[in-house]
Amino acid sequence: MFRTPGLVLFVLCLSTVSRVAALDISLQHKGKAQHAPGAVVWLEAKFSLPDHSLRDNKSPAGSEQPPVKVIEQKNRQFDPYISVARLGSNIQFPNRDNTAHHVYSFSKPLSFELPLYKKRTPAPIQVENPGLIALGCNIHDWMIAYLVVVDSPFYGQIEKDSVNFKELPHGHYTLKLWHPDINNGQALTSDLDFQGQTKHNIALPKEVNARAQIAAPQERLDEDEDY
Amino acid sequence: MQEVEEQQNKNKATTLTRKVLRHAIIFPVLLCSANAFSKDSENGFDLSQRISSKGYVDLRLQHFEGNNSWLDSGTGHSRFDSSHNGRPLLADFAAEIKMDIKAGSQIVTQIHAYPEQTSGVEVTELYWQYRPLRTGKVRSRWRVGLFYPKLSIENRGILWSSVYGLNYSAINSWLAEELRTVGVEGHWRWSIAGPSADSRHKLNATINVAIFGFNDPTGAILSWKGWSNHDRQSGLGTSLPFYPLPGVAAAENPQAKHYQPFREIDDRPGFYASFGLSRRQQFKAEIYYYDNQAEDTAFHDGQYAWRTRFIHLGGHYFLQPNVELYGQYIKGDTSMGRGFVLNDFESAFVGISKRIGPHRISARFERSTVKDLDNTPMDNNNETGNSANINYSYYLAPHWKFSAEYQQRRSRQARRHYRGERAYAKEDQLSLSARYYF
Repeated sequence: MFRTPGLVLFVLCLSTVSRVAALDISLQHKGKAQHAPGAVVWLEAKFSLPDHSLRDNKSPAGSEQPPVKVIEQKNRQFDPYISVARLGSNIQFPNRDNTAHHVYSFSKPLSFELPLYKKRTPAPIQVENPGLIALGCNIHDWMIAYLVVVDSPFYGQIEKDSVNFKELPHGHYTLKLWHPDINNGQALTSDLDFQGQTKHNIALPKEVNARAQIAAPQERLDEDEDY
Repeated sequence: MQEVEEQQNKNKATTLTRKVLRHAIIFPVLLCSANAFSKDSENGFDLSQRISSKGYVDLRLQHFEGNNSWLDSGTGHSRFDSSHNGRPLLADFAAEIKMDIKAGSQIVTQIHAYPEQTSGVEVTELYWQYRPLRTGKVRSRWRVGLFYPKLSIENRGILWSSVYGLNYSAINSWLAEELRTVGVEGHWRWSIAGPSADSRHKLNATINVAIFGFNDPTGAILSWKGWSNHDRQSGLGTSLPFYPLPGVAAAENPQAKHYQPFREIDDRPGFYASFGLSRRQQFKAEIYYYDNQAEDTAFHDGQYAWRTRFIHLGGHYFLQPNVELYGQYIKGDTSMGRGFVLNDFESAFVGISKRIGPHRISARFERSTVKDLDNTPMDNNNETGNSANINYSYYLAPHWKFSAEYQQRRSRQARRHYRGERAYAKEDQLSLSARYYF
């Protein structure tokens, strides 16, 4: 039965050093659940993390390659509208459209411009500074997207009104939340002492009116988009 | 003797200025493109990725009742007349080719071919466009070359076609005939901040400023032919038939038998400037002031310089997301030969258009006048006219648009008397069109 006693011992040791548990974080205002799909939630540990949790769980274990985040240009729109990437990730901007795009950002963490000819995927760009990156397209004015770069392995995005962290070590954290329609586009910060509770509510100062991405104007056969 | 010498020197200088001015347009295009090409060379230059084209082929069947077309030296104001009735017409083959030099910088060429009419292929626009990356709240655009000022509300379709119908309003038919910028235009748009961090419903303020040449004869066709409703666009080097009027034929320097609207006659640049406000999908209102600053005594190679100035107002307003009210208004004057011909012109239209799924129905009503203010005998340019246009279009995705359109024009033009016709003319036109967009 115990063909790998070493592994069992290792796991036991780990669980005594750092206990992990799942946590569900949701948004509320005055006891009412708030919907902000896509809102980025991340936890910055106030204690030193055991090595294994420093690894991004989305990159293959033991891989030396930085994780890749894909932000597509599809139907003259960014997809996804809001995304999150860990510091050091490679961001890729594949153009799925049959028209050219010109993606740019003037944001502090990453300032760049990228001509994207039709159906092209240029070389990825590595993000080396944490913070908010607002993306635009110089050709299609309405195209706007946000990328939050976090310096933490514990991050996620609200799906409907909550986000689940599967293996969160017990301890003290700074809990951060960002969405363009929450707190005037400024990150909302609070403290979290995680001791194995299954749920946590972020109390929002105001009710949220989370708006969808600006719809691309309908492409018309006979209309000149450039006019 | 000295005077003659001075005059000769002056003439030499004028010729030189004219030459410089003619080439001045080409140089910035070449310089900018060369510079742009060299900067991007490290990324490789894949032409197939950078060239895109679009356009349409318009097949038409029509029935017309009224005076013969001005394009066949008639006194009618339509493009097709009864000689085109009941047979299939290739009304327009239109293509736009865009070449990206680098991100935000491109060369745009627009061509219309009209095999049914004599002048054939027209290069209606040919320019270099540069959009620097937006910094802060301002977006800008530069255009250098041959292009339309973007003042039309109706002709915002591809290749400057009307999105509401086949035949353009009188104002836009006139712009298509003899108004074009050959020069430099700067365009700036400010997003006026709203309360939210989101830019979607912000008010935009727009300014356009341009300096141009090669549009000195504009005003000639409006004065001597008058307002029209058609869909034929003139281009580079275009030549349109002029039917001599008795008063003009008697002039010392007679007008050539063809109008050539895109000519530089006096070596003096003109300008236009505009200011507009808009909110996407809600409304747009814009005012333009245009002055070609032509020296109205200048005459060269059979073409007069006409001093043409106007104020233009254009706007649209969405009553509902799919119901749009739109209109344009123009008021101006044009003069030639220091008052030999002096006319005020004015035109206005309102239109309403509704889209329901693949259907669009539009109606347009307009009134246009030319008021003759000079005393030149046998050159009465007075004109009043009304027209109504109703169009139904059906979009068959992904390539076809089918339209049926009825247009009626009623106009009174004194000059028809010179040709033994009645001043009053009624023109009815029923058109069916099948357009294939590529």
